[in-house]
Amino acid sequence: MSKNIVSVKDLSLSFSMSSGDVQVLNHISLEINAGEIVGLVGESGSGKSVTALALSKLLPTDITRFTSGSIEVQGMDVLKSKESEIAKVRGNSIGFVFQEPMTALNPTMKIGNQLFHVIRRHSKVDKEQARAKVQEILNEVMISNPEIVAEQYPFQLSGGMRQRVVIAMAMSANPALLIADEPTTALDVTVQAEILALITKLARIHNTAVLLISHDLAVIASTCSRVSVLYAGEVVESGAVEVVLKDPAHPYTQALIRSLPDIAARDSQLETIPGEFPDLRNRPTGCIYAPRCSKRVSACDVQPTLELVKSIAGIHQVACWESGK
Amino acid sequence: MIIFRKTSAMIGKLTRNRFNLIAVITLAIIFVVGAIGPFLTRFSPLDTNAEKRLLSPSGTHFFGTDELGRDIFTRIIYGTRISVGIALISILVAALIGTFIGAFSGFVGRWLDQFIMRSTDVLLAFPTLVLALALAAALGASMVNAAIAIAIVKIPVYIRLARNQALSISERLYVKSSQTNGLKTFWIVRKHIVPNLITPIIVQVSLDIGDAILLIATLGFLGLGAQAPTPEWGAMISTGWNYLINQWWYPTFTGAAIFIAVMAFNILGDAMRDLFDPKVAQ
Amino acid sequence: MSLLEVTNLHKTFRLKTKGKVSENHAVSDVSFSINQGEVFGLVGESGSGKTTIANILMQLESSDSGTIFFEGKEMNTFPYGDVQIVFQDPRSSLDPRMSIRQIISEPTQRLIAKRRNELASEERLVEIMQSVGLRPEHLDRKPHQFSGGQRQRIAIARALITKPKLVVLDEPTSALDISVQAQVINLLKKLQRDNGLTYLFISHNMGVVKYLCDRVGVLNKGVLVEVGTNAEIFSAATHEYTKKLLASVPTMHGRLL
Repeated sequence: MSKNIVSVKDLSLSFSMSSGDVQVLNHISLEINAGEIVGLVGESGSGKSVTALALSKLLPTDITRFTSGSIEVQGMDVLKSKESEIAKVRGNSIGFVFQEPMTALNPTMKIGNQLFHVIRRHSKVDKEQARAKVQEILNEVMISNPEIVAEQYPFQLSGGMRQRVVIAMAMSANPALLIADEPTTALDVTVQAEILALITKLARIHNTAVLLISHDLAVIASTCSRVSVLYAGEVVESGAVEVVLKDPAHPYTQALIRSLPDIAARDSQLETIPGEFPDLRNRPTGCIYAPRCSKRVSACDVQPTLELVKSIAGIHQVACWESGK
Repeated sequence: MIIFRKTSAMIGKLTRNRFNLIAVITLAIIFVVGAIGPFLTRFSPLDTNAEKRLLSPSGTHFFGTDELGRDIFTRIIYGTRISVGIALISILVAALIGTFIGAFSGFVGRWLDQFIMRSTDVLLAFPTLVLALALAAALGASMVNAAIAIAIVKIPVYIRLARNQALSISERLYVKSSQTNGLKTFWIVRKHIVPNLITPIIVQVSLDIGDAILLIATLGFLGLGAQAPTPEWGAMISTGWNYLINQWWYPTFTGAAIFIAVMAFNILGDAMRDLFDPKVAQ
Repeated sequence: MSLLEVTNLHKTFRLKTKGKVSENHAVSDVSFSINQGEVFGLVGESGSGKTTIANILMQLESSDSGTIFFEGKEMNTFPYGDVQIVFQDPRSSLDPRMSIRQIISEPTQRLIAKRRNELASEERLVEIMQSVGLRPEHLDRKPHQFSGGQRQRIAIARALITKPKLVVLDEPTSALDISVQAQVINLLKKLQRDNGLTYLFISHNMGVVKYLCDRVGVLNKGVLVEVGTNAEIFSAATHEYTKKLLASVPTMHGRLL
């Protein structure tokens, strides 16, 4: 039983916008243990990126309101922590990899220099040791000529190389948690495969807990052991990847998978989800997916809770009155 | 109709800040004065009266009289039309011409763009005031020539602003789409490029009007603008400041008028910039 | 019957950096043909040249050499309106300051008045809006009032106004959510059937290409390494690069094929 790194319980948060309060996350729960790669999948507006930012309190403080629940990272209560405390944790215990590597890298500083500064900031090593560590971590992210790359600027590297550097930076302090938000979306298919393999390898070697966020079900399927499916700020289904993605219980997950062209027959029509995304300013009472659901019944007027469905391959939870039928 | 609603919404947002509110009210007053000025006073700005020379401010002459017996209050009111009016016209003309040239240059690119930008650089290298002075002097001292000089001085600003915006707009897919359908360059510049860069232009115009008022006053002060007996603020201070010690009211009120007008427009300009800046608008 | 035939297309970009001139062979000796009524897929990663080929076909860029045949005749420019393009990004492909009505009818600007009135008449605009699944009442709205998927439908409507024979689709679904992507793909299929269209479908998404395309061409760094039918490419690829590409695609249920 590996150590619990992330524990999100019943978290709700809203943004106060000029047009009203938008309930972005509604009672979500999430657990990630050391060495696990957990996926968070959803479409735009599902709240997946917000969840990532919430874990380290990177949301804009003037408009964000936490209306319920708690977030614990390595035992630390994130919501109750002061900014100074949590700032120490970022980069140290929590590493970040975002979609666009150029936003994480300083375009005017050499790669080696950037890594050098990050290493020095998070560990008490002298200059020589830090320089050696730069080479070491560049090697670890499978960059074949680290001495040359260290002397280059970000614009001289390809997208895949830059993302490797970002991963190196994120992993440099050996964090307990790595948050990767769409890390391969901007990359080519062949490079994507390499980056995902790299993340998997590093997680295994360093026993890092990984939160992998993506809208691409296949990326999640090939990399994660567990997954939570988000819809309009709620977790509608969660469990082991083999179960959730191969034999989903929630109508939304089922519809999502059936709308993928990957295995659809060429002469068939793709299944689509009728209706529109709900207005998060006026959350309907009852199941958030009900308006678009093909299996809707009268019980759905009441908000379903995340129930245990089956116990094969670990916990499989679904928020649906009709599941399993 | 839509424009009306949008403007009122804009004014609503602008006036949330107290300074902005004062500025907007001041500008409203200025515009009213400019429009119906003559009805606010029974004197004529040109009426000389030797017996009424240099009278201090009173119930009849709110701001006193000048060395030729003319009512200063009246002259300031009539002067509003000149100073503010010319400023508005010069800047609007400069913006119109500069924007189209810049947008066209940015979209077409290549040697034309290089040529226009280098020429613009040359013009912008001159200090605004020096260039305006030189132009006004060369064209001959008059109100119209002062307006022309200011417009010419400001055109390069808009060319550069529009051109830089046009560079990125030209790369947008809706422009590419028009190109694939064979639409002509002028059509694309007119319908796609210019409308999409209008926002920074509006901000620049707001900021420039204050600048233009000051320029006109300066030119007038140096005798290069409107000629006597036209009640132009700068010219009034030019004669007035000689009387500063004993007849303090003469240049002071005119100076205050310039100050208030320029400040109001500057605050408006800043407010407009904040209004349209996506980060601040959040 | 071959609708479009491209032979020996070349395009090289020359870049001057620090006094040295470097050459980027964006398109190297590419030849392929598209038959009337088929969906031809062009796949490749970034730098493969697929966007450059699209730009050359749409005359946004010139080729260095090569010939293009359209409906059997060699030509430099396509007959007006016969070839249209749908771009990837629904956010920047529509002018935010224009109404949908103006956007959709814009391609008819260059036509003579009589033809323009035929193609962009009110009835036709209403008909086209309905055929892409949008409400005609919304013709006077602006792009920001629509979602990403709806904007892509508008872009498709714009592409159809001139009754084109060939539609080039450059990553039309890559910026869309999964559920929206399905809707747009269904729409594209239906429109193709209803209007007898031919598609050049450019994408890096293998799943979509496998579902939609009849024939596929694989590009690697400007070179067309393999061309074949859907079955040939996805079940029996011969070129190393094609195999590598297909092997890299993450899958939901084991291998893609």
